[in-house]
Amino acid sequence: MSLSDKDKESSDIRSAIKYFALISQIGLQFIFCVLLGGFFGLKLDGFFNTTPLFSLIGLIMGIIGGAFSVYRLIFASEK
Amino acid sequence: MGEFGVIKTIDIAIPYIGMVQVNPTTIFTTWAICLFLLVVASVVSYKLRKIPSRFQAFVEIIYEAFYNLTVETIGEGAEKFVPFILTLFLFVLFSNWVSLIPGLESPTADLNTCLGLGLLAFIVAHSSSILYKGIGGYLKMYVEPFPFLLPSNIISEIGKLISHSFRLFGNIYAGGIVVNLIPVIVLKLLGSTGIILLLFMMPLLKGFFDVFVGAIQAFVFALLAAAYISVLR
Repeated sequence: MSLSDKDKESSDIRSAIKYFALISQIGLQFIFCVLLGGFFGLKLDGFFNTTPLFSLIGLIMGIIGGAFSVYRLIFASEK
Repeated sequence: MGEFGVIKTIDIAIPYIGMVQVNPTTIFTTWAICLFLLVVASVVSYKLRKIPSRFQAFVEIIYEAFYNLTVETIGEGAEKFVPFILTLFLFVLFSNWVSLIPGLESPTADLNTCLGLGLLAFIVAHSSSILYKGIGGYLKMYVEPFPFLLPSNIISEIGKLISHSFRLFGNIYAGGIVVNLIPVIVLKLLGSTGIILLLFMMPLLKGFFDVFVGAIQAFVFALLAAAYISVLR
């Protein structure tokens, strides 16, 4: 095996470990964004007495935020 | 973490802030690990040779692995983040492994340590983004791709910080609880004969949760910090 083959192999292993770490974070990050959106919405509903308007908006914002943050995390790792 | 996850705290009065609850074990082990890492770093960097000793070669292999990983993840200008990412990895690694010493507890089994480390990575990522893009470019990121997504972008940034911290805390804390709980279950089920089984099983369990899971979580924590820096650039 030549030196460049060894370099390529170690680079592949590094990439595999990196993707394993990132993929294991995706679900957690998405869930926390949805929960945070719901939490902020619930607090605003409590403050303005508008249940369930802000809770729904918060949940939707959380879902969109979670999706964007997961998308950015995946594409940033492609640099 | 004390017996079955009960945290033993003491109250300390801080001027202008008031009474603050602190976990003395966490503070002691955190400082001890910092001191240990400082001593090791001083010893390693004291006599660097062109033909390295075994220990120097071992440290160089670790540094090179993290250098390549950080450069691959962050991209342009990643070199200046290598010491930060490697320090984060070594601190979390030894924090996870310190519970192998009887009487000591992992500082990472305390949420305050994990949140502190997560906050550190968060501040480094955001400040590097401001330095790289300028304040205008940094703020513009929050209204992309559409301005009405500003709350979503703010939520996703806070979500990143919380998921980064809770992931480490959850894994280490849960591992500690399982290691504490299994001897009780085995002794309840098997009685005194369970002691013989525990003699063989406990080193394996400790080895798995503290050494293996601890090393993986330390690596993932450092890698995610690099990924978050990369996302914001």
